[in-house]
Amino acid sequence: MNIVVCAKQVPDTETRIKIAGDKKSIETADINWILNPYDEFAVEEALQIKEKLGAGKVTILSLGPERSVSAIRSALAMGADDAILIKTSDEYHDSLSTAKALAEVLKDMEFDLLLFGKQAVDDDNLQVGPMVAELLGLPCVTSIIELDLQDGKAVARREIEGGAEVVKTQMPAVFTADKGLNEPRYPALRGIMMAKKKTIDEKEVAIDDSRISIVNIEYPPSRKAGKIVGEGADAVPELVKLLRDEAKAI
Amino acid sequence: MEKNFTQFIEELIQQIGEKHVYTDEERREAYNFDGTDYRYLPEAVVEPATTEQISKLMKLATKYKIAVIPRGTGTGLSGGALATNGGVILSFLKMNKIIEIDEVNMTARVQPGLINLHLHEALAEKGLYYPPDPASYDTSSIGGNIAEDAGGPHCYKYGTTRDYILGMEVVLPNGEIIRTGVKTRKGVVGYDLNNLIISSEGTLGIVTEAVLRLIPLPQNIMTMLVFFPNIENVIASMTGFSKNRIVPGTMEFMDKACVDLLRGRIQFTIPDETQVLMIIELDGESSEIEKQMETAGEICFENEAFDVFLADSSHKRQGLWDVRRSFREIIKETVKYKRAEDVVVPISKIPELLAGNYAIAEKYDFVSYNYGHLGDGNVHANMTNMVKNDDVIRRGHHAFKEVFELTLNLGGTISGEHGIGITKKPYLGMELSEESIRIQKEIKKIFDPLNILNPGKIFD
Repeated sequence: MNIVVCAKQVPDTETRIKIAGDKKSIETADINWILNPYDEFAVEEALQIKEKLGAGKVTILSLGPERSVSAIRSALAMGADDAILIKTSDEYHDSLSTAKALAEVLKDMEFDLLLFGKQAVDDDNLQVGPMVAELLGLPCVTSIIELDLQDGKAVARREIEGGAEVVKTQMPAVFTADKGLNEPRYPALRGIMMAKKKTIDEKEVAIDDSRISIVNIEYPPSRKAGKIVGEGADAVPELVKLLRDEAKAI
Repeated sequence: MEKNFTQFIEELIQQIGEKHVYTDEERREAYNFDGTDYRYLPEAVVEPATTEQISKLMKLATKYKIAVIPRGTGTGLSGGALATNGGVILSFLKMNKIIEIDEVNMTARVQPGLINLHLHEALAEKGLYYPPDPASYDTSSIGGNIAEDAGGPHCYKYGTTRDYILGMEVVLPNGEIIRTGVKTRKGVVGYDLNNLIISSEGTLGIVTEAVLRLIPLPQNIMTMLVFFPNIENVIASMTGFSKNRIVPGTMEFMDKACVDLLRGRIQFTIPDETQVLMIIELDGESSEIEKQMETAGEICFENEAFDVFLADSSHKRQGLWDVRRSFREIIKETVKYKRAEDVVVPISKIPELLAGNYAIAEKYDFVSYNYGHLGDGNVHANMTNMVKNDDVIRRGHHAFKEVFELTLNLGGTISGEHGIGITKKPYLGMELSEESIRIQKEIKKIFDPLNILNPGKIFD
């Protein structure tokens, strides 16, 4: 089975994001870059499927600037076989232009299964997976927490409000991975050393101009200071009054 | 309540206000414990908001000869914050603020009730770092950390609490307020009262404010998990690291008993022959530590490591540390009786200490779990049993007496970071000479002639 996993490099989730001077981007100098945690679920699932079948190939496809190589190497260190990087400039590419570039490469590739993380934790758009599926004319199941493949069909479980939904589809198909799908493995040092020796196939693809542009990035408003009304039972009437009239909480 | 005590409380309420003084059952119950299994109900609880209130408390305690027990958040592991002789628990719940973070002078001024983790978080915002991080760092307070000179995983590279306390404001048992140490990066005026107060377990003075030394926050961290066939290979790897100028931020180890307990609790397939699991953390600039990680990994393999895994993102690192930090609780869940002591030996003697602990465990019918800060030679030696009764407790006492004898014979010390409190009091004379204890008791008398501040701790 040929499995392709689309993966993105994102800032470490502990990064303290600083907005850059242009107020449309973030400062990247001090960021530690990692493989998007949702994409880790996708890579792990691909590896588990390959291991279960005892055959197949897992290819990582990423789009991003040169530094994305380190995220790709993380996926290779986990056990992926091959990797392709669509090298771009460091500027912003919206979801559709990203999806089109990925689809452009994917249309010439043979695969039975195409996996994404359900979202990248940097811009949280949740769009690229479904868009690529649409561009390739493939069925798409998002936010899966279980995947079972048999006889050319795939059965996936998705968590929905108040329950779960089981979905069946033909293959090839696109799935986006949610937390709970598996426990991604930690890369082994031997894997990392081996990953270093692997060549990453760099592809040049013309990328459409983004139709969406970022106008402004701002920090969340700082929380208003709390108010201490008083202490003890005497303060209760005033507190109730403020909760009702000022905070409108009751 | 005794008449003397009632008068004391009445006068205290007059002076510092009733909202800082509690005598109700509920509040006293909430302060009857620490990290040990002992329970002692205090007669009252005081939660002051200012140094002046603490000064007034001590003046009254002096007048009425009432015992006062300073208490951080009660995570201590030697009984230091327990009201063993009745009296008043002095809680720092309301004195938990960061007063100032000075980015130019790289210092912070904090109140003692501040939770260690909250300090870490506030400093990280500014790219600064206060390294001491005891396993309880998400709940323990800076004041408690100072009282015990708390260590932690990162103390191998960076030193313990002591190394980061420049100066303090201290209320003496008689209510006088003094300053110890300095507010500058260095200072040598007079005897070093600062270091005398640090790790005195709240028996000499009450720390009401501390000036902390800070360092820049390392840019990146990489955590390695390594499985070794024996402890000798681990020690050899450590020597290899130093020879290659690699100083890991942490070097944590778990022995075979611990590793066996972890099987199934972590997602790694642990090789059957694993005797030691190591968590090695490298911190610094990304480009540097990547190279160091490769070299360190090679050194581990040269020393017969089975496998080296890597946590290259914060969420994966968190996964590893959650296991390490919760390990005390994991053992507790599995056994009925558990006693742990934090002995330290020279690193080269760790294999002998572990072998000795296993032999002692067998002799007294215990299962011994050993883990801790290998880089510091600090071993958390646990003796456990599936039943708990008086006989088991008695055997535990004998077993640890032998562990301490062994530790001292190997050139070690019987407590690396938990202190003496009440739990190690019976063993103090094993390490310290009579003359040393006499001088220490004299020092206690100078500070606290009436023996009202945390009495009965360290020695009687």
